Amino acid sequence: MTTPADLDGTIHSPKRLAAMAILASSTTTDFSFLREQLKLADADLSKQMGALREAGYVETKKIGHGRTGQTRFTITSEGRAAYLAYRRHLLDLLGE
Amino acid sequence: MESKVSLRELNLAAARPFIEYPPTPWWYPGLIGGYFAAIAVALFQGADGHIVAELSVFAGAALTLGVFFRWYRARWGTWPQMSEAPAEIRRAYRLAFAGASVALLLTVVVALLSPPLAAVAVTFVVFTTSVWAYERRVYPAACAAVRSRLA
Repeated sequence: MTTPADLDGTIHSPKRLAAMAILASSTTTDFSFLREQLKLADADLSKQMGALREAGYVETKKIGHGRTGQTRFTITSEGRAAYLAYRRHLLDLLGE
Repeated sequence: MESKVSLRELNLAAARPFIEYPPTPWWYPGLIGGYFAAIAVALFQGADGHIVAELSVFAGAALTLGVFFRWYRARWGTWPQMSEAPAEIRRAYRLAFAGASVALLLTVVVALLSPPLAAVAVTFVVFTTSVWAYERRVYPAACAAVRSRLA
């Protein structure tokens, strides 16, 4: 029996959950794409992604330098497992 | 009720790498048609003694395609994981695969029955037209269906 307490606190935040959903369905995703799709300010997105990185759920890679440089994110296997477990728990809670 | 909304939002977020994309340039179908025509040149014309030139055409086409995808990936900002595609997009992929198989079969038949140059021309036309149909009709329709389901 799944209870709300079973939900992973790190990705329970709507912003981080949406970021995880995007990363789980992409091979790699740039900072700019996440910012645009999640409609977040740079500082807020950096903070959210920092939390996911600290949890070991995402890896980052710097591509290029200067104004054209990008931070590219990839979900880790641990992150994917956590995201899928979260989805399962959510579906259980909804009885689907 | 709120959870149902959040599940829909979650599904929409998961679909975003597939449905939020910059349209490919108008010349993209021609680029793919040219790439397959270059393969046809290497395959069908290779026996006429100009194999180095023909393989160079193929290598140039492959390099151009590689540069294009690198540029397009940077412009898109993401690259979807095909295995995670929503059902509507999977149907579009299956249609594309079936279309490419038919196009390939058609070009092989033409190559067997016509001069090599005709086979190269047919390859270009068939692949350019197929990619145009996929890029401008099939895939956008699939994206619209995903958006409509998750709206």
